[in-house]
Amino acid sequence: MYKIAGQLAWKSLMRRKTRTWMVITMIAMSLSGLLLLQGIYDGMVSHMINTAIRSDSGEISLYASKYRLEKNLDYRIGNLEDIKKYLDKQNMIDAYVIRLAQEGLAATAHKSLGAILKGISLEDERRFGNFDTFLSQGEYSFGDKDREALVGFKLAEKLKATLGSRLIFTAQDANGEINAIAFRIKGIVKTGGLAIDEGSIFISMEKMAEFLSLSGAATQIALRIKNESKIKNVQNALQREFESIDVLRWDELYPLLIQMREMMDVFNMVSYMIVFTIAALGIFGVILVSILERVREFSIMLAIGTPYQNIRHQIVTEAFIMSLFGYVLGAFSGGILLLYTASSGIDFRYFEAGLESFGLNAVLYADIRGYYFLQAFGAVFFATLLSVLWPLRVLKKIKPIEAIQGKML
Amino acid sequence: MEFSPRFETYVLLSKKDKTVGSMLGGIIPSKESSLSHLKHALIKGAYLEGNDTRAIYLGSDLAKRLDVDVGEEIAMIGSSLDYSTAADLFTVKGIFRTGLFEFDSTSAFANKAYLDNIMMSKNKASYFTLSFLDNQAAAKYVNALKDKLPRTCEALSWQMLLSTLVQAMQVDSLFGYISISIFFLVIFFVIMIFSYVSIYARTRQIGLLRALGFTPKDIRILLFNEMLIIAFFSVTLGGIIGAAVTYYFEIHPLVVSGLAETYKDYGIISDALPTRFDLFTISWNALSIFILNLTSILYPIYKINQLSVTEAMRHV
Amino acid sequence: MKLIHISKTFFPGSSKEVKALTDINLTFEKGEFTTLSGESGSGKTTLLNIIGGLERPTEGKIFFDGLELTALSDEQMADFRLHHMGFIFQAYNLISVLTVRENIGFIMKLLDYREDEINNRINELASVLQIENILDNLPGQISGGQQQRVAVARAVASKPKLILADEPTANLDSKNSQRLMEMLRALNEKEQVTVIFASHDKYVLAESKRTIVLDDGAVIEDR
Ligand SMILES: Nc1ncnc2c1ncn2[C@@H]1O[C@H](COP(=O)(O)OP(=O)(O)O)[C@@H](O)[C@H]1O
Ligand SMILES: [Mg+2]
Repeated sequence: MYKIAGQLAWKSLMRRKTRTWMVITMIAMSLSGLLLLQGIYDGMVSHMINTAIRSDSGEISLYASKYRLEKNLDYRIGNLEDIKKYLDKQNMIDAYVIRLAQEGLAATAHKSLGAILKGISLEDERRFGNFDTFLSQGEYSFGDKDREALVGFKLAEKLKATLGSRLIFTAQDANGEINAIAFRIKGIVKTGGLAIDEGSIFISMEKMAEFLSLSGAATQIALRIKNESKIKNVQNALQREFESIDVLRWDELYPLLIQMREMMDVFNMVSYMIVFTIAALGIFGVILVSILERVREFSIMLAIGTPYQNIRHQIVTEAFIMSLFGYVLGAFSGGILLLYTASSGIDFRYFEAGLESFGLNAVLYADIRGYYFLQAFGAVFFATLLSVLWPLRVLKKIKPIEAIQGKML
Repeated sequence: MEFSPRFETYVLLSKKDKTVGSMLGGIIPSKESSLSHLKHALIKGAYLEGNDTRAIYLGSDLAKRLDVDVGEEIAMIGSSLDYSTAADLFTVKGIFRTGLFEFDSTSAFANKAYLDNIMMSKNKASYFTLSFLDNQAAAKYVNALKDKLPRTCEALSWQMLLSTLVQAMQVDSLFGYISISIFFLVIFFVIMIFSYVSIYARTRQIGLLRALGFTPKDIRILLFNEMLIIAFFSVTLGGIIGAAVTYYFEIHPLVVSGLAETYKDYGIISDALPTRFDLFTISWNALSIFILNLTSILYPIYKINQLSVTEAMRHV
Repeated sequence: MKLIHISKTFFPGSSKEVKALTDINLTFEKGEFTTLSGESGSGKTTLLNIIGGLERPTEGKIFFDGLELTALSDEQMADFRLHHMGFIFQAYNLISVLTVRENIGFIMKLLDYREDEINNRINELASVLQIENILDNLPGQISGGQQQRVAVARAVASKPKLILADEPTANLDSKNSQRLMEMLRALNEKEQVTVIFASHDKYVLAESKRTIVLDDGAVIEDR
């Protein structure tokens, strides 16, 4: 019996091709648009998270407790050798870097600005997060005798400094004395992360130790753990091993990114809801009209004994055939758009500076996740269900007797 | 229009063993108070005065970082305009809070007259701030100033100065545009479907008109005019309802509790979501829908005119 | 089939009250070919609808092979129609998206007949009704007379016990009316199916064995 309903549904749709195509195209186009939107938004957030992890926090960062609050060298990690020994033994940890940072005043001949000076190892940073890929100008090097530095691009811009410019950095050393150090700019980095781009200067660890009169110490140790499911375990193990140190995951260090991700999810949900409520209206219109113009036909079918369920089944099938085609077409074209955007990106050059302030590049790359398509299917399914509710009520009111009454003819 | 010169420099402020980098602004207290909200942001102590000497006005979070309170002394180290090191001791006169976290944690102000002495910046200003009653006038004035000022100076409107903010707003609207265009797309289809269906319901009537001597062009004009009237009324009605809703929310903003706490880093200082009643945006959207409406019926009209008279008359 | 004290009143008790049928008592035998005749508004359609269970009588009972139809629920009645009754209406009988062949086989399909059974039956009926050459057309592509013949074929296809036809010739010219009646008559003889018409068409009256004349909702003649 359902087979007959299905055949009738299919034939009715074919009979009204234009209408059917309009609905299918509507669903397909809104779906691929939404999929792309979702992919880009997720891609943006992933990019920001990825940048933060690669250029700063790793999956896990260690700080002396209180350091993040006070930003003071009194709260530094002292037992560096113990920690290094421990970290080297862990095979969950793919790489780690040791950084020593101090806030101070960066000045050129023209201008002075607040900045953070960080002592790092270029080689370690490269292994840790391909830090060299963030270099936008100059060389990924501290020059011979470590006399040169890498500077965040926004900071350089504000200081009106370029490659080769001389910078003076003034800060308090480990003994509480105010010291100054001078160096030239060897390279300019652009990570998309505000903290680095707007306020960080990188010099070699050795120079930094000398400047602060402090060796064998760090303010931060960042770890890479590629196996996502193991991050929590490693964190707990580290915390147990080194009780006096804050062991923090990237999502604890950048709660804003997680919030952003959640906000994007909500935003996507709302978009889906709005779009598919409107789309449901379109499906509804077509289904309702197709019932109204076939009242006579349906009443004759009822009169000759066709079960009501059969006709209801026909209507529901019509709606779902259109939706299914729309979904398949939309998921397919949306998938292609996503694949393209994931590999080649979309260029929003006009909005570049604005995107930068969010820590993004002008070219946005999309994420693709399997659940997009599941979610999209759910949305199409519910929109279709919603759209047939009222038409089915109309159908229910059709009486077989109407076939024979003159008013119908 | 009001104006005030400002001198701004970056210095290290320290108290005992704590040293923090901060912006230090030299302002003329009386003029500044009518220009910005600095005076009203006072939460402790007192605002600066024209004859103050070693008084400093600190942002609340900066004061917290330095662990100082009103009446205590802090040291300042910076570079003066002749590149020599400038250093002095200041007493905290007042503490302010604007709600902009970044600003409150990195800003301090002193009397310009005094600061000029130690920074050798007498008769000099980093810049002048001007405030206009309306934003349009500002743009014009910026252009006029550009012509008059010497080469070494530049006049910038707030849009240029806060270019990142403006661009951030643009990015925000970029996402807005993308979403809106998807909404418009689906609305377009829905209108098209409805007009197609309603035009097709009248196929036989249209066939009859054709049989009576109407040309396809007459039919086109007839249907288009009908749609014009319907679209006009529905868009007007929708516009009025939309405007009323926006107006309502402008007066009674939506309140999301906890919003300010979560986004204090972004300078959002209230739990209320501000809604702006903007006639331009409303009319622009209404116009777009109106045009969308009209374009969406072109195809249905085309389709119905493809039918021959007899086909139309026999249509079931 | 027996109709006992059948009455039908529309809008009983209201000012618009219409007494469409009053105290109808009739018996139909198997294989009968009967015409309900009478002027427009005399109650023919109402009576057919009540027999077919599309409408319920205000009073009275109907028995079919000992089964009380008036006691069945709407759903049971629909099922009964599907299995034992065939309908032919004045016009627009067919399902517009199905071909002639599919229309004829529609009820058999609902009744789960085998595919080859259905095809044999369609071919058999098509030759009797002379519609072999239009079997693959859609209803919109054939004439009104052909449409009515297809409706007849569908009504008899599943070999129902009773066929009800409400003015099946009303929209046909005399030649087509005559042919339709001849074919129906032939089927009636061949398959021993009971047929009840509502009509005042002279071709119908000429073909029928029994004519019941209604006037103002009452039987005034039965011959
Ligand atoms: N659904 C109905 N509602 C009200 N009155 C009806 C209805 N159907 C039929 N009638 C009335 O019942 C009477 C019989 O009508 P009908 O059976 O259609 O006559 P016929 O088919 O012989 O022309 C008429 O007076 C008609 O107005
Ligand atoms: Mg009648």
